[in-house]
Amino acid sequence: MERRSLPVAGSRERLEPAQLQERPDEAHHREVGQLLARAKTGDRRSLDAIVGRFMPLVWNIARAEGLDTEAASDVVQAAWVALLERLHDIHSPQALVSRLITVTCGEARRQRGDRRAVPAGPPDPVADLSADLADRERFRCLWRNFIRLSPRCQELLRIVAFVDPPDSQMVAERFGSSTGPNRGQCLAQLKALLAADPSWSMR
Amino acid sequence: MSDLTDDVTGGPDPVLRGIRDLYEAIDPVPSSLHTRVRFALDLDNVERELASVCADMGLAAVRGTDYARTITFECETLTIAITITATGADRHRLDGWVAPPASLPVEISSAGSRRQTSSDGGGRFVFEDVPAGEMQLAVLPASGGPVELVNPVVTQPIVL
Repeated sequence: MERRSLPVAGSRERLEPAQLQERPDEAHHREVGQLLARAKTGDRRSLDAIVGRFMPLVWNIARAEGLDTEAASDVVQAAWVALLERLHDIHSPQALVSRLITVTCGEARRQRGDRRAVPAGPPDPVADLSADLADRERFRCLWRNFIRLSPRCQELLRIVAFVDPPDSQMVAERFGSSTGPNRGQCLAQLKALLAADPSWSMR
Repeated sequence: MSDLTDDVTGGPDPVLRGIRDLYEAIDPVPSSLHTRVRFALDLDNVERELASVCADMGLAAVRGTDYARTITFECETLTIAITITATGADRHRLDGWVAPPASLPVEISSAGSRRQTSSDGGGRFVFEDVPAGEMQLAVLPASGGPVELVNPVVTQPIVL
Protein backbone atom coordinates (compact mmCIF):
# COMPACT_ATOMS: atom_id res chain seq x y z
CA MET A 1 0.00 0.00 0.00
CA GLU A 2 2.81 2.39 0.84
CA ARG A 3 4.14 3.07 -2.61
CA ARG A 4 4.93 6.72 -2.38
CA SER A 5 8.34 7.36 -3.82
CA LEU A 6 10.65 9.23 -1.55
CA PRO A 7 12.17 12.42 -2.84
CA VAL A 8 15.55 11.91 -4.39
CA ALA A 9 18.38 12.88 -2.07
CA GLY A 10 19.61 16.35 -2.85
CA SER A 11 16.38 17.44 -4.44
CA ARG A 12 14.67 17.86 -1.13
CA GLU A 13 15.50 21.52 -0.66
CA ARG A 14 13.90 22.39 -4.00
CA LEU A 15 10.61 20.83 -3.11
CA GLU A 16 7.77 22.81 -1.70
CA PRO A 17 5.88 21.30 1.21
CA ALA A 18 3.98 18.09 1.09
CA GLN A 19 1.61 18.91 -1.79
CA LEU A 20 4.22 18.47 -4.50
CA GLN A 21 5.02 14.94 -3.50
CA GLU A 22 1.48 13.96 -2.74
CA ARG A 23 -0.20 11.23 -4.65
CA PRO A 24 -3.58 12.29 -6.08
CA ASP A 25 -5.45 10.20 -3.51
CA GLU A 26 -3.64 11.87 -0.63
CA ALA A 27 -4.28 15.30 -2.10
CA HIS A 28 -7.94 14.35 -2.36
CA HIS A 29 -8.21 13.57 1.34
CA ARG A 30 -6.35 16.70 2.32
CA GLU A 31 -8.60 18.90 0.18
CA VAL A 32 -11.80 17.28 1.36
CA GLY A 33 -10.59 17.52 4.95
CA GLN A 34 -10.04 21.25 4.54
CA LEU A 35 -13.42 21.75 2.88
CA LEU A 36 -15.11 19.77 5.63
CA ALA A 37 -13.44 21.78 8.40
CA ARG A 38 -14.46 25.05 6.77
CA ALA A 39 -17.99 23.89 5.98
CA LYS A 40 -18.46 23.01 9.63
CA THR A 41 -17.72 26.59 10.57
CA GLY A 42 -20.56 27.66 8.31
CA ASP A 43 -18.60 28.48 5.19
CA ARG A 44 -21.14 28.10 2.37
CA ARG A 45 -18.56 28.06 -0.38
CA SER A 46 -16.83 25.04 1.10
CA LEU A 47 -20.13 23.26 1.57
CA ASP A 48 -20.97 24.06 -2.02
CA ALA A 49 -17.63 22.64 -3.14
CA ILE A 50 -18.35 19.44 -1.19
CA VAL A 51 -21.77 19.19 -2.86
CA GLY A 52 -20.19 19.63 -6.28
CA ARG A 53 -17.49 17.11 -5.60
CA PHE A 54 -19.71 14.33 -4.28
CA MET A 55 -22.85 14.98 -6.29
CA PRO A 56 -21.94 12.42 -8.99
CA LEU A 57 -21.44 9.72 -6.34
CA VAL A 58 -24.72 10.50 -4.60
CA TRP A 59 -26.56 10.59 -7.91
CA ASN A 60 -25.14 7.29 -9.07
CA ILE A 61 -25.96 5.58 -5.78
CA ALA A 62 -29.57 6.75 -6.08
CA ARG A 63 -29.75 5.62 -9.71
CA ALA A 64 -28.07 2.30 -8.99
CA GLU A 65 -30.80 1.77 -6.40
CA GLY A 66 -33.19 1.60 -9.34
CA LEU A 67 -34.89 5.00 -9.05
CA ASP A 68 -36.02 7.03 -12.06
CA THR A 69 -34.47 10.45 -12.55
CA GLU A 70 -37.24 12.33 -10.76
CA ALA A 71 -37.26 10.06 -7.72
CA ALA A 72 -33.46 10.02 -7.69
CA SER A 73 -33.42 13.83 -7.69
CA ASP A 74 -35.70 13.89 -4.66
CA VAL A 75 -33.50 11.35 -2.91
CA VAL A 76 -30.35 13.31 -3.67
CA GLN A 77 -31.84 16.50 -2.29
CA ALA A 78 -33.08 14.77 0.86
CA ALA A 79 -29.73 13.07 1.33
CA TRP A 80 -27.83 16.35 1.27
CA VAL A 81 -30.24 17.96 3.71
CA ALA A 82 -29.82 14.96 6.01
CA LEU A 83 -26.05 15.18 5.69
CA LEU A 84 -25.99 18.86 6.59
CA GLU A 85 -28.05 18.22 9.70
CA ARG A 86 -25.31 15.94 11.02
CA LEU A 87 -22.28 17.65 9.54
CA HIS A 88 -20.84 18.52 12.93
CA ASP A 89 -20.60 14.80 13.76
CA ILE A 90 -18.39 14.09 10.76
CA HIS A 91 -14.71 14.21 11.53
CA SER A 92 -12.89 12.85 8.49
CA PRO A 93 -13.19 12.76 4.69
CA GLN A 94 -13.80 9.03 4.86
CA ALA A 95 -16.57 9.50 7.42
CA LEU A 96 -18.11 12.06 5.09
CA VAL A 97 -18.29 9.57 2.22
CA SER A 98 -19.57 6.88 4.56
CA ARG A 99 -22.29 9.16 5.90
CA LEU A 100 -23.30 10.19 2.38
CA ILE A 101 -23.74 6.55 1.44
CA THR A 102 -25.81 5.88 4.55
CA VAL A 103 -28.19 8.79 4.03
CA THR A 104 -28.52 8.26 0.27
CA CYS A 105 -29.27 4.55 0.59
CA GLY A 106 -31.67 5.26 3.45
CA GLU A 107 -33.53 7.93 1.47
CA ALA A 108 -33.55 5.75 -1.65
CA ARG A 109 -35.09 2.83 0.19
CA ARG A 110 -37.66 5.10 1.80
CA GLN A 111 -38.54 6.58 -1.57
CA ARG A 112 -38.72 3.25 -3.33
CA GLY A 113 -40.84 1.62 -0.65
CA ASP A 114 -42.17 -1.66 -1.91
CA ARG A 115 -41.77 -0.83 -5.55
CA ARG A 116 -39.43 -2.95 -7.56
CA ALA A 117 -36.38 -1.49 -9.15
CA VAL A 118 -37.02 -0.05 -12.61
CA PRO A 119 -35.93 -2.27 -15.48
CA ALA A 120 -32.54 -1.61 -16.98
CA GLY A 121 -32.25 1.14 -19.54
CA PRO A 122 -32.28 0.71 -23.30
CA PRO A 123 -30.00 -2.04 -24.63
CA ASP A 124 -27.58 0.38 -26.23
CA PRO A 125 -27.72 3.75 -24.44
CA VAL A 126 -24.41 4.59 -26.06
CA ALA A 127 -26.06 4.83 -29.47
CA ASP A 128 -27.80 8.08 -28.50
CA LEU A 129 -24.68 9.78 -27.28
CA SER A 130 -23.39 12.90 -28.89
CA ALA A 131 -19.83 12.01 -27.92
CA ASP A 132 -17.30 12.06 -30.71
CA LEU A 133 -16.74 8.93 -32.69
CA ALA A 134 -13.67 7.62 -30.90
CA ASP A 135 -15.30 8.08 -27.49
CA ARG A 136 -18.46 6.46 -28.72
CA GLU A 137 -16.59 3.42 -29.94
CA ARG A 138 -14.74 3.15 -26.65
CA PHE A 139 -17.98 3.57 -24.68
CA ARG A 140 -19.78 1.05 -26.85
CA CYS A 141 -17.08 -1.53 -26.35
CA LEU A 142 -16.93 -0.92 -22.61
CA TRP A 143 -20.71 -1.02 -22.29
CA ARG A 144 -21.02 -4.20 -24.35
CA ASN A 145 -18.68 -5.97 -21.97
CA PHE A 146 -19.86 -4.25 -18.82
CA ILE A 147 -23.44 -5.50 -19.22
CA ARG A 148 -22.16 -9.06 -19.46
CA LEU A 149 -21.24 -8.80 -15.78
CA SER A 150 -23.76 -9.85 -13.15
CA PRO A 151 -26.12 -7.04 -12.02
CA ARG A 152 -24.37 -7.22 -8.64
CA CYS A 153 -20.97 -6.55 -10.23
CA GLN A 154 -22.39 -3.79 -12.43
CA GLU A 155 -23.84 -1.99 -9.42
CA LEU A 156 -20.68 -2.40 -7.39
CA LEU A 157 -18.35 -1.16 -10.12
CA ARG A 158 -20.66 1.69 -11.03
CA ILE A 159 -20.58 3.04 -7.48
CA VAL A 160 -16.89 2.35 -6.86
CA ALA A 161 -16.08 4.16 -10.13
CA PHE A 162 -17.41 7.37 -8.59
CA VAL A 163 -15.33 7.11 -5.46
CA ASP A 164 -11.80 8.45 -5.30
CA PRO A 165 -9.18 5.77 -4.62
CA PRO A 166 -8.53 6.43 -0.93
CA ASP A 167 -12.15 5.64 -0.10
CA SER A 168 -12.79 2.89 -2.61
CA GLN A 169 -11.90 0.07 -0.24
CA MET A 170 -14.37 1.27 2.37
CA VAL A 171 -17.10 1.88 -0.21
CA ALA A 172 -16.59 -1.48 -1.87
CA GLU A 173 -16.98 -3.14 1.51
CA ARG A 174 -20.15 -1.17 2.21
CA PHE A 175 -21.72 -2.33 -1.03
CA GLY A 176 -20.17 -5.75 -1.23
CA SER A 177 -21.69 -8.83 0.33
CA SER A 178 -20.01 -11.72 2.05
CA THR A 179 -21.41 -14.16 -0.50
CA GLY A 180 -21.20 -12.32 -3.82
CA PRO A 181 -18.11 -11.38 -5.80
CA ASN A 182 -16.07 -8.51 -4.43
CA ARG A 183 -15.04 -5.49 -6.43
CA GLY A 184 -11.63 -6.93 -7.23
CA GLN A 185 -13.22 -10.02 -8.77
CA CYS A 186 -15.80 -7.92 -10.64
CA LEU A 187 -13.13 -5.67 -12.06
CA ALA A 188 -10.95 -8.65 -12.98
CA GLN A 189 -13.91 -10.22 -14.82
CA LEU A 190 -14.47 -7.02 -16.76
CA LYS A 191 -10.80 -6.69 -17.62
CA ALA A 192 -10.72 -10.27 -18.86
CA LEU A 193 -13.73 -9.59 -21.09
CA LEU A 194 -12.12 -6.41 -22.41
CA ALA A 195 -8.82 -8.15 -23.04
CA ALA A 196 -10.67 -10.69 -25.19
CA ASP A 197 -12.42 -7.93 -27.15
CA PRO A 198 -10.28 -6.90 -30.14
CA SER A 199 -11.87 -3.45 -30.36
CA TRP A 200 -10.80 -2.52 -26.85
CA SER A 201 -7.87 -0.20 -27.28
CA MET A 202 -7.92 2.01 -24.24
CA ARG A 203 -4.78 0.62 -22.70
CA MET B 1 -6.45 -1.61 -2.82
CA SER B 2 -3.95 -1.96 -5.60
CA ASP B 3 -6.58 -3.45 -7.91
CA LEU B 4 -8.47 -0.17 -7.82
CA THR B 5 -5.58 2.20 -8.08
CA ASP B 6 -3.42 2.88 -11.02
CA ASP B 7 0.11 1.90 -10.05
CA VAL B 8 1.77 4.72 -11.92
CA THR B 9 -0.30 7.73 -11.02
CA GLY B 10 -2.09 6.73 -7.82
CA GLY B 11 -5.25 7.84 -9.59
CA PRO B 12 -8.19 5.58 -10.29
CA ASP B 13 -7.84 2.43 -12.32
CA PRO B 14 -8.27 3.29 -16.03
CA VAL B 15 -11.12 0.83 -16.50
CA LEU B 16 -12.96 2.26 -13.51
CA ARG B 17 -12.26 5.70 -14.92
CA GLY B 18 -13.83 4.48 -18.16
CA ILE B 19 -16.94 3.27 -16.32
CA ARG B 20 -17.22 6.65 -14.66
CA ASP B 21 -16.89 8.48 -17.99
CA LEU B 22 -19.46 6.16 -19.49
CA TYR B 23 -22.07 6.76 -16.80
CA GLU B 24 -21.39 10.48 -16.85
CA ALA B 25 -22.23 10.35 -20.55
CA ILE B 26 -25.28 8.06 -20.50
CA ASP B 27 -26.80 9.09 -17.15
CA PRO B 28 -25.51 12.54 -16.23
CA VAL B 29 -26.49 14.36 -13.05
CA PRO B 30 -29.40 16.60 -14.15
CA SER B 31 -28.15 20.12 -14.69
CA SER B 32 -30.67 21.64 -12.32
CA LEU B 33 -29.95 19.28 -9.44
CA HIS B 34 -26.94 21.06 -8.02
CA THR B 35 -28.85 24.33 -7.93
CA ARG B 36 -31.79 22.61 -6.32
CA VAL B 37 -29.65 21.02 -3.61
CA ARG B 38 -27.77 24.23 -3.08
CA PHE B 39 -31.01 26.01 -2.59
CA ALA B 40 -32.32 23.40 -0.18
CA LEU B 41 -29.17 23.70 1.90
CA ASP B 42 -29.19 27.48 1.85
CA LEU B 43 -32.81 28.03 2.61
CA ASP B 44 -32.34 28.46 6.32
CA ASN B 45 -29.82 31.15 5.67
CA VAL B 46 -30.25 34.69 4.60
CA GLU B 47 -27.84 34.18 1.76
CA ARG B 48 -29.89 33.69 -1.37
CA GLU B 49 -27.91 35.30 -4.09
CA LEU B 50 -29.08 32.67 -6.54
CA ALA B 51 -32.77 33.22 -6.17
CA SER B 52 -34.76 35.81 -7.97
CA VAL B 53 -37.18 37.33 -5.51
CA CYS B 54 -40.62 38.08 -6.81
CA ALA B 55 -42.56 41.03 -5.66
CA ASP B 56 -46.00 40.80 -4.17
CA MET B 57 -48.24 42.67 -6.58
CA GLY B 58 -50.73 43.31 -3.85
CA LEU B 59 -54.23 42.03 -3.54
CA ALA B 60 -54.93 41.27 -7.15
CA ALA B 61 -58.38 40.08 -6.34
CA VAL B 62 -60.38 39.96 -3.21
CA ARG B 63 -62.98 37.26 -3.05
CA GLY B 64 -66.44 37.72 -1.69
CA THR B 65 -65.54 36.42 1.74
CA ASP B 66 -63.20 37.73 4.34
CA TYR B 67 -61.44 34.43 4.41
CA ALA B 68 -59.92 34.20 0.97
CA ARG B 69 -57.48 36.44 -0.81
CA THR B 70 -55.44 36.06 -3.94
CA ILE B 71 -51.91 37.32 -4.28
CA THR B 72 -49.89 37.38 -7.46
CA PHE B 73 -46.12 37.36 -7.56
CA GLU B 74 -44.57 38.58 -10.77
CA CYS B 75 -41.17 37.09 -11.44
CA GLU B 76 -38.89 37.42 -14.38
CA THR B 77 -39.37 33.85 -15.51
CA LEU B 78 -42.80 33.00 -14.19
CA THR B 79 -45.83 34.19 -12.31
CA ILE B 80 -47.02 32.62 -9.10
CA ALA B 81 -50.56 33.24 -7.91
CA ILE B 82 -51.93 31.97 -4.63
CA THR B 83 -55.33 32.00 -3.06
CA ILE B 84 -55.27 31.80 0.69
CA THR B 85 -58.31 30.39 2.45
CA ALA B 86 -58.69 30.29 6.20
CA THR B 87 -59.67 26.78 7.20
CA GLY B 88 -59.63 27.04 10.96
CA ALA B 89 -58.10 28.92 13.81
CA ASP B 90 -54.74 30.10 12.50
CA ARG B 91 -54.80 27.52 9.71
CA HIS B 92 -54.88 28.16 5.99
CA ARG B 93 -55.17 26.37 2.74
CA LEU B 94 -53.06 27.62 -0.11
CA ASP B 95 -54.14 27.04 -3.71
CA GLY B 96 -51.46 28.05 -6.11
CA TRP B 97 -50.83 28.36 -9.82
CA VAL B 98 -47.61 28.68 -11.69
CA ALA B 99 -47.69 30.32 -15.11
CA PRO B 100 -46.69 29.39 -17.72
CA PRO B 101 -48.13 26.08 -16.56
CA ALA B 102 -45.46 23.56 -15.69
CA SER B 103 -44.82 20.77 -13.28
CA LEU B 104 -42.16 22.10 -10.91
CA PRO B 105 -41.12 21.45 -7.31
CA VAL B 106 -42.71 24.04 -5.02
CA GLU B 107 -41.54 24.57 -1.49
CA ILE B 108 -43.16 26.45 1.35
CA SER B 109 -41.28 27.68 4.40
CA SER B 110 -43.34 28.71 7.36
CA ALA B 111 -43.05 28.56 11.11
CA GLY B 112 -39.49 27.34 10.84
CA SER B 113 -40.24 24.30 8.72
CA ARG B 114 -40.34 23.46 5.02
CA ARG B 115 -42.62 21.34 2.94
CA GLN B 116 -42.36 20.44 -0.68
CA THR B 117 -44.88 19.51 -3.30
CA SER B 118 -45.01 19.68 -7.09
CA SER B 119 -47.28 21.65 -9.33
CA ASP B 120 -49.19 19.51 -11.78
CA GLY B 121 -48.92 19.84 -15.54
CA GLY B 122 -51.44 22.68 -15.41
CA GLY B 123 -49.24 24.55 -12.94
CA ARG B 124 -51.52 23.95 -9.93
CA PHE B 125 -50.33 23.14 -6.45
CA VAL B 126 -51.88 23.00 -3.00
CA PHE B 127 -50.56 23.31 0.52
CA GLU B 128 -53.01 22.33 3.24
CA ASP B 129 -52.91 23.27 6.87
CA VAL B 130 -50.45 26.13 6.67
CA PRO B 131 -50.04 27.85 10.04
CA ALA B 132 -50.54 31.58 10.51
CA GLY B 133 -47.47 33.75 10.45
CA GLU B 134 -44.81 34.53 7.91
CA MET B 135 -44.45 32.21 4.96
CA GLN B 136 -42.50 32.14 1.76
CA LEU B 137 -42.81 30.09 -1.41
CA ALA B 138 -40.05 28.90 -3.66
CA VAL B 139 -40.34 27.32 -7.08
CA LEU B 140 -37.32 25.15 -7.77
CA PRO B 141 -35.68 24.23 -11.04
CA ALA B 142 -36.49 20.88 -12.59
CA SER B 143 -35.22 19.50 -15.82
CA GLY B 144 -37.21 18.47 -18.83
CA GLY B 145 -40.32 20.60 -18.40
CA PRO B 146 -41.66 23.44 -20.54
CA VAL B 147 -40.29 26.02 -18.08
CA GLU B 148 -36.53 25.88 -17.82
CA LEU B 149 -35.62 27.57 -14.55
CA VAL B 150 -31.94 28.04 -13.98
CA ASN B 151 -32.28 29.31 -10.45
CA PRO B 152 -34.97 28.99 -7.83
CA VAL B 153 -37.67 31.62 -7.72
CA VAL B 154 -38.55 32.84 -4.27
CA THR B 155 -41.52 34.97 -3.30
CA GLN B 156 -41.35 37.83 -0.91
CA PRO B 157 -42.38 36.67 2.55
CA ILE B 158 -46.01 37.32 3.30
CA VAL B 159 -47.94 37.06 6.51
CA LEU B 160 -50.92 34.75 6.66
